[in-house]
Order: sequence, then C-alpha cells, then structure tokens
Amino acid sequence: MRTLRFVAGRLAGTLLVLLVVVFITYVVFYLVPSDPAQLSCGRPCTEQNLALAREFMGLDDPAWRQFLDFLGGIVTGRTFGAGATSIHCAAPCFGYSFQQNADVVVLISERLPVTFSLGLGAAVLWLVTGVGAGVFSALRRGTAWDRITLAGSVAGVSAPVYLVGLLGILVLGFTLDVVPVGGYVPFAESPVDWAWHLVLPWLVLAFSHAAVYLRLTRSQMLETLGEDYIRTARANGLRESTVVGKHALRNVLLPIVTVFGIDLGALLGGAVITERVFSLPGLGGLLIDAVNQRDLPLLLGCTLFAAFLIVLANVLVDLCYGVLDPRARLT
Amino acid sequence: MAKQVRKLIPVAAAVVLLAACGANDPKTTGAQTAKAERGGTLRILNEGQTVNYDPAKSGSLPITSLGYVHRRLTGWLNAEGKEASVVPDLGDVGKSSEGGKTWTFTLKDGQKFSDGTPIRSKDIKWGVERTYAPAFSGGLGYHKQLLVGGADYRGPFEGKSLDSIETPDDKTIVFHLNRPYGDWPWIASTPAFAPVPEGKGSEPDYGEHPVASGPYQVAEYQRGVKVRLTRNANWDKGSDDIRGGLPDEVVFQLGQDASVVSQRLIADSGDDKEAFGSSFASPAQLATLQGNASAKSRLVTSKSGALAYLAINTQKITNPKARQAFQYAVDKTSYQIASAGSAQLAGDAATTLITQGIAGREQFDLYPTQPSGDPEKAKQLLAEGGFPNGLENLDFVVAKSNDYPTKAQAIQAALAKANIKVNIRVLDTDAYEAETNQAKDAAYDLTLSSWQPDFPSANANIQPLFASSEIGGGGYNISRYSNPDVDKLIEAAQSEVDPAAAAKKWAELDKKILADSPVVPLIYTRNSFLHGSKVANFFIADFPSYPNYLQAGIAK
Amino acid sequence: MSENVGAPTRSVRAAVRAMLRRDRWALAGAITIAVLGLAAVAADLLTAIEGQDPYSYRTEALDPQTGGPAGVLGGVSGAHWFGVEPLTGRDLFAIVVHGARTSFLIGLAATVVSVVLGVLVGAGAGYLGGWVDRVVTWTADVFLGFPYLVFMIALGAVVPSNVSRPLMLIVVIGFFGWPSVARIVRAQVLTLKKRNFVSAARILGASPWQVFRAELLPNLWAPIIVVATLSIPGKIGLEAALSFLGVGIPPPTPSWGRAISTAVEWVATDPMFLFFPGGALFLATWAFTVFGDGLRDALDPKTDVRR
Repeated sequence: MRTLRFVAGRLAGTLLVLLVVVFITYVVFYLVPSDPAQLSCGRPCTEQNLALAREFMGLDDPAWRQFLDFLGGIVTGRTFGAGATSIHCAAPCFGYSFQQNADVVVLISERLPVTFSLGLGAAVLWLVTGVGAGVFSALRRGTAWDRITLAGSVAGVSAPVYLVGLLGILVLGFTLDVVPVGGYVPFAESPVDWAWHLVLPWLVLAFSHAAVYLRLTRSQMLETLGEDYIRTARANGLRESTVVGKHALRNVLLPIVTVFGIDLGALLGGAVITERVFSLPGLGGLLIDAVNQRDLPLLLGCTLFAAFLIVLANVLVDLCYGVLDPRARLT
Repeated sequence: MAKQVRKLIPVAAAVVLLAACGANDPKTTGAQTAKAERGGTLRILNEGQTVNYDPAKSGSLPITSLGYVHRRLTGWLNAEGKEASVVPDLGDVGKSSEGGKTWTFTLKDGQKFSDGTPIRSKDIKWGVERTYAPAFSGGLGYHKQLLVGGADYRGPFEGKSLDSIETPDDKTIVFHLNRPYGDWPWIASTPAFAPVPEGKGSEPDYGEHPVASGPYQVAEYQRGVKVRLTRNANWDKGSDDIRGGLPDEVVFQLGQDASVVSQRLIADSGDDKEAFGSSFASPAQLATLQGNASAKSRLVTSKSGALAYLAINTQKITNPKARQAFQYAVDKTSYQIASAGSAQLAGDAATTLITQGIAGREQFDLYPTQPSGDPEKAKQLLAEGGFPNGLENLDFVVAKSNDYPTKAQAIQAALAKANIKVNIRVLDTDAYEAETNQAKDAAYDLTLSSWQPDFPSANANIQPLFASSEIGGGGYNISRYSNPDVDKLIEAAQSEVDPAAAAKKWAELDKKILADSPVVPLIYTRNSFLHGSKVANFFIADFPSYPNYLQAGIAK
Repeated sequence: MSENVGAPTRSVRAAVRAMLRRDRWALAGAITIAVLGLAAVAADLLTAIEGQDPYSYRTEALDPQTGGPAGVLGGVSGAHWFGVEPLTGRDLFAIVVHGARTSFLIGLAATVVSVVLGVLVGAGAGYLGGWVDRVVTWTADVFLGFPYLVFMIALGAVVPSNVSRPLMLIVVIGFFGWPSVARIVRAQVLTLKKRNFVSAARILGASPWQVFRAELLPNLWAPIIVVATLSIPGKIGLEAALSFLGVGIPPPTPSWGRAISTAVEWVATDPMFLFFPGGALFLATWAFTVFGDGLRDALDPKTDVRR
C-alpha cells in the first residue's frame, strides 16, 4: 500500500514536472519572433499567402489558445485545416510537422530504435569498462596501472566528444578503412551489419563516458574502502573478494546508479552531437533538423520527449535507490 | 530564385565554390569518357532530411530530383554549351493570342501516369489548381497572381474550379491571364504544372507516394533515411527528350553529414562509385581535392551561376553619384577570396544584372575598373555627389547563413579604403527576411544577397529585384528601387511575346537600371559537384549552375 | 560525493598549498590554468606584440590556388605564430588567445552564477527544511528533467541576434548548473545543522542569515571550491559544443568551438588549423579537471588520508 502511494505520488510529481517543462519551452519558442509559416509560404511569398499559411497551421490564434490546443491535442488528437485537405493528428498528438508531413509521435517512434541502439550499446560498454577499470584502479591504488588509467581518464573527460568522433571517423573509417562510416542498418535486417555500423559510434560515446565513470567509481571506491565497516569486515576475516564485491561495491553503486540514470535519460533523448557526426537517423538528428528548419512543433515534441525520458530515468533511479540502500527506502 | 539556394536543393550547404585549378575554363563535365549505359543504381548523397516529391510544395529545378518523377507542361533545354530555352515536355511550347493574354498548349499523344491512366489536360489543370489550396502552398507560385481569378481562389478540394484554365478537350489546355505575359511558357515549366490525377492528392503526405509521370516512381520513402525510385513502366521514352531514364533505380541517402559525403566521394570505394553529392563542394573540400588527381577529375564545376550583389538602399542613399561610388569602392577580388579562396574557385567578377547563360544577355561594364576596385575614383565620385568626407556609420545588415558575415567583412574592409565606414549587423535568417523582404520601410543602408532566376529568362533576373511592386510584403527588391519609367519598361518587356524582341528590351533595362546603381554586381557564383567514378554523363550546362540529374547514368 | 566533510583541520589555503607541493599533476594543471588565464586576460597585448588581430583579413598569406594557408604547418611563421585561418588569412594565434578569453569568460561567469544560486538555494533548503526543502528538491527535479542541451540548441537558434549572445550563454548555462551545486551544499548543511556550534548559534538567537554567514559558510568553502572547479571544464566544453553546433558565439567574435567546427573540414590539408584551437580547448578542460581533482584530494579529508 505504501509502495502504491509512493508510486502514485511520484507519478503525479512527474506529470507536474513535464507540464512545467512543456510550458516553459512553449513560452520561450512562441515568444520569439520566428515565423514557421514562412517556410510553407512559397515563392513569391506575398502577404496573402503568408496569412493563408498561418491560418492553416493554426498560428493566427492567440498564444494561450495555441498552448491549450496543444495540450488538448495530447488527449484528443488535433485537426489542422478543414475539408478534404484537413490534416488529422491522431491522439496522443504532440504536434504535427509540416516540414516532414507526419505526426511528431510517428517521427519520434521511427527514430527511437536508432537512438536506443546507440545509447544502450554505448552504455553497456562504458559501464563495464568504466566501472570495472575504476574498481580495479581503486584496488591497485598508486601502482603504474592506476596512474596510467587515471591520466587516461582525465584525457577522456577533457576531449570533446565531437572531436573524438571526427578523428575516429578519419582514422578508423577513412584512413584505415576498418569500419564503415555512418549509416544505420536496422537490427531486423541484419544483426551483424547493425552492430558493425554502430561499433565506431559506440566506441566514441563510450570513451567519453567511461572516463567519467572510471573517475567516479575510483573515488567512491576509495572513499568506501576507508569506511569503518569495511575495516571491520576485513578484521573479521572475510575474504577480500567478499569485502569488495558484496560490501564495498553496494555502497559504490549508489551514486553511480544516480549518475547513470540521468546520463542514460539524457542520451536517449538524443545523443545530438554523436548522431550528427555519424549521420545516424536518430532523435538527435531529428532535433537538429527541427532547429535548422524552424520546425517548432517538432522541436517542441523532441524537447518534451527528451524531458520525459530524463524524468523517467530519475524515477527509476529513485526506485533503485530503495532497493540498493535500505536507509533510503520510501522516505 | 532565392538567395538561399537551400530551398532549391534541400541542403544546408557550405559556401560557394570552385573550380579545378589552373584552367580559366572550369571543367563542366566529368573527365570520364565512359558512356552512360542503361541499368544500374544511381545513388545520391543528400545532406537534407527530406526530398520533396509533391509538386505543389516544390520550388525545384526541372533538371534535378523532382524531374525524375514528374514531367511538366513545358521543359528546359539543358545541354553543355547551349543556352537554355523552352522545349516541349508533356505539351508543346504554347501559342499566344490576344496579345499574350491567352496561351494555348497541346498535349502529346499517348502519355500515361504510373498507374496506367492517361494524362489529360484536366490533370494538368487539377495540378495547377491544387497549388492554390492552403494545405499545399510552399512551392513556386509565379502563376498564382497571373491567372484570372487567382487572387480569390482557394483550391479545388471544396468543389470549386478555376475557370481561367480551360480544357476544351483532353489534349488542349488554355490559360487566361489578367495581363499579357511573354514568359508564360517558362512559367509552365515550374513544378505547379506537373499533372496530378484529377480528384487525387488531398492527403498531406502525397509527396511520399505521388502518381508519377516521369521515368521513375517513388517505390519507397523512408523518412530521414532514404528514398528509392524505381522505373515507371508507363513512361514513354520516345516523347521525352529531356530525361534519359538510364539507371534502373535511383536511391537518395538522406541526412548525410556534408564532410563525410565529401570524404566518401573522394575515397570512391564500393557503392560510392555510383554516387554523387547533391550539395556543392565547400572550399575546404576543394582544397583537399587538389592533391588527389582522381578526385579532381571527378569534380564538375559550373561556368557561371547566381549573381552575388551588394544592394544599396536607394531610399536612404538617394544621391546617384554616391551610389556609383560604391561600384568603384568595392574590391571584387577580396570578395572572391572570402567566398571560396580564389577568383577561379568563386566565379567571375560580375558587371551585369542578367546572369550568364540567359538568352539575349549582353555583356557590358558601365563602371570599368581594376578587379580590386579604385578607391580614389570612388572618393572623387563621393565628392562630386556632395560627400567630400566620405560616408559614415552606414548600417550593413546581413543574414548569418551562407557565410555572409565573412563576405561582408571583406566588403567592409574595401569600402573603408574609400572613406565609406560601415557597421555590420548580423541577423538570423527569419529576422533578416523580416527586415529586408517583409518590411515596407527599412533601416539598413547596405546588404549582401544573391539571386538566381527560377527560370532562364531575363524577366526573372530583373523584375523580382527592381520592380517597385516587389518592395516589402515578401518581395525581393531589397535595394528598394522605385523608378516609374523602369516599371513601365518592365511591364512592356514582360508583355512582349516575341522572345527576341523581349530579350532586347531586357538588355536595355539591364543597362538603364545599372546606370542608377541600386546594386553593385559582385560575382557570378560558381558551384562544384563531386561524383563517383562510375557515374557518367554528369554535366553542368551554362544555366542553371546545377548538374543535370536526369541525363546521368552508370557506366559499366 | 562527499557527504560528511567535518570541520576543516587546517585552512583552505594551507591545504591547497600543501597539495600543490605534493601532487605534480595538480601543479601542472594549475600552471596551465594560469598560463591560459593570462593569455586570455592579456589577449590584446599578446596579439599587439605579434602585430596581428583576430579580425583582419590577410589574404596575402593564402595559397592562391586553394585558399588554404601558404607555407608549412598551416602558415606558421614569424608573423603568424600559429599560422592563419584558411579563406580569410586571419591570424590563428590571435583567434586562439581571444577565444581563450571567450571560453574563460563564459566558463567562469557561468560557474559563478551556478555556484551563487546553488549555495543560496541549497543552504536554504538544508537549513530551513520543511516545505522550503520540498519545493527546492522538486524544482531541482524540474531542472534535472530539462533536456538542457536540446533546449540550449533550440534557444540559440531562435533568440534574435540583438540579445547579447555571451550574456545569454552565461545566464542559460549558469542557470542550468545550480541543481548539482545545491545538492552538495544541501547535504553538507544537513550534516552541519546537527553540530553543536550551529545549535549554539541558533539558541543564542542568530537569524538564519547570520547562522549561514558565520557558521555554515566557513565550513562550506571547501566543497564549494571543489565542485566549482570541477564544473568549470563542463561549462567551457558546453560553450564550445554549442559554438561547434553553430548556436553559440556568433562570428566574428573568436571562439574555440566555432574554430574547431570550421577546422574539421580542413583537417586533410591543414591539420594545424584543428590542432591549435582543439589543443587549447583540450588543455583548458584538462587543466581544470586535474586541478579540481587535486583540490578535492586536499580539501576532502576522507580521500586525502591515505595518499
């Protein structure tokens, strides 16, 4: 029962957060003097044509009306224009992209598998290497291994991901011709090709993140290993692997899970830079396109979806906390 | 056509560019003497995320992507060394009557849509009417104001028809205009005149599965990923001289990163041998090519192109001598370097308003001077105009796209030598258009822009830029030039039905307008495109400065 | 992060000095920061010595065939210490040092904004507790839930150019950074609240603000400095990333991110154009990171015990 109330409370909080995010985004984008109707106006763009385009896209309504229409559309769906050429956006309607002639929801769902493939694959890679190396470094503190990985991780943190990506493409993709450059092959079509085309993006993304997790894990591990209860466990004669694996690691995982949740949420909202560099048709690419084309409905939809994922990740992280840390249960 | 070529081919391309090194005559065809053969898959690497196949929403040239799927009422002659002219496509080149207010076209026999139904004049009428519906605006609309009743017409989907388009029988179509217009056959080559089966095309994503009249049809449209065209079995090759229809399939790969495209084409491996890029090569890419003989031989450069110009706001700088001073103050060489690294790469210095490759164009130079300008002469003219101390604090507004801020700086530095001090103000595209195109009055003194006509007629070079009706309200007369004599002459030239006579009138207008110096022509912008080694018959004619997609094929 | 920092056993400055003597990496980082910072502050002076500026076109330094820099190493010479930018001939050294000014200005100012906001809000939440704490935590959730990169990209694209771009970047980047600072400060304050000296001050009638200034803040400096220093590289990187994507600092103001974005295309023929600004960005990020690491080791008793 308490769990149920907790979940319901979190859900309500989540919805409120999303509403605020949508509202702020909407206000910012619609206050700014940028007219999406211009792109649908044609050439020559006479005032009359512009007015007709605005009317069709529902832009001549007052801003508050447009916002309510948008919110209403999420529940009931929306219709643009009238008669035989009217456009129906099925519920839940998060907007309609006039540039790409499709519901925002449809566009996002088409791109989702790509971003998820990229994000989840890279995440697995960086967790395993980052956390693993971090634990190992902490245990072998002060040795050559530790110093090298530490220096390497600082380098990894300092190098911007787009630079690493582009250099990776140049070296591994073109000069050495080891991996194909960019493009996405759906998993259903060919799992081997799917993985092969994603190897370079995975490596690039994982490199930057693994460095962060290595540092985090190492410092957390060092902190935990200095705790009294670890000393007690050791003094009690427990094996080192039990001490580290069962007792220390549990404590270390807490902050890592927190950061991971947020990172993953942000990544799945669209690894904008990586996707652009590797020409992957994911959510990041969709967003950049929306920005370049001033496609405000699509922009709004992408922002909202990204926010949703981060908030979801936060909730999941909190639930995980409850599992991992008895002290934090349902307070 | 617009200053922003990205409307033309969906591309956020880099700056203009240039030619191979050395030769003054840029290479306009691939060095491969291999012949293009029937068959194979042609691949097009596209930077943009969409390829638009809805003719009502399209501003596309007849020789590029839209031409694969849709034929139009008339077409363009597009071949190397030949000037562009109107040629028959689905219909003939048209006959005028009533002094140019009525135009009659006769369709060729036996043309069919991809679904097997015959193409009738009613289908062309439906296609034109469709462009009036607000749901399908966004394409070229030169015809909209010219057809009688167009101002109030809202499309055919509510049961209303545009009476000024008559279809007395299946093979004849008659257009009634509200004024004489000699260039109507050119207008009939715009995308709006592609046939759409009567009654169809009401869905918003019609462009993803249109009914085709050209050599290919849209077999697969994967948004953001690729578009695959396969043969339209009902296309009649015999009646179509404009399109080669050589490859079996054409595949557009969407959303490609520009520098990666360039690398792939230079590397020329695997499927990329049968590919070409839809965006121009940037100066950086061209510099990379210089060291690679194979890649250099696969680069094709246009001879000429869009007119880049410095527009002077004639409502603010009203003294004609002062405006003429700008003709001498500007340093076209530094502009060329700022555009693309060298004069050869950027394009020839321009001295006329009508772009090269247009029939009837006359080459002249009203303000002959050295390529890098003549600051002393400029100062002298300013003094004669009553500005012995030069001009100060001029507002130079530019859009932030297409590297305009960089080019503006080159102009600024040159003007400073002639005692003309300007302040550069950079605006986002929307804000820039609002201030230059939409506003009735403007605060700026100078601006940079570029113009390629939407169809190869001097009319399209001059009227949109210099008719007083095109000031504000979406027009492109950003120098705000308003001269009643010129307006009358433009009207007369537009009404002239005989092309030769019309060409003479336009050439005279060219000189007359430039004598008033509302703009300083800078360069005719060259574009370069790279293709794979198996792509053959890939060329750029004199006009427009884009490759002919329709004749290209794969060499075995 | 550190949850339970106790009262410092020695002053912050002494700890930092001791750390710098011991930790060579941190020392290297500190020196690099000083050098880059000096370059940023003295950018005008340095470019005057060189005889160039980041805005003038020097087309005579370009190869007339390609538009790339003439000469080796991207045009490195006595007149142009780092070579020149292709197509314009602008001096790369001037661009790099002026770009340092941009990056440092935005990175540091944004950090100040984040820290000030984060400290006030976090301390308030931690000390006052109750509904204040709940509201703050919930607001932090909203901010963390904001896809800030997406938002900043979109904002950068739609905000008109007459709004000062550096100011906008500082405000936006800084504003999105407060939750992480607040979280740490709040945790610290929660611990400190229970300590005797704080309770004593409260009993003696000190107002929350007085307690904050006199009792809490002195004990908060250590974690504040650490989190501030460690967040600077992220902010510098974020500005560079936004400029790389074209929505950061507009031309002609020099920016490392924008220079990198242009340089990537030229890497086959002029790799030095990427090397100098890219290297500078890397060094700046790296320097603040190692220095911040050193600070954390010095000021956080838990991890410095077994060095």
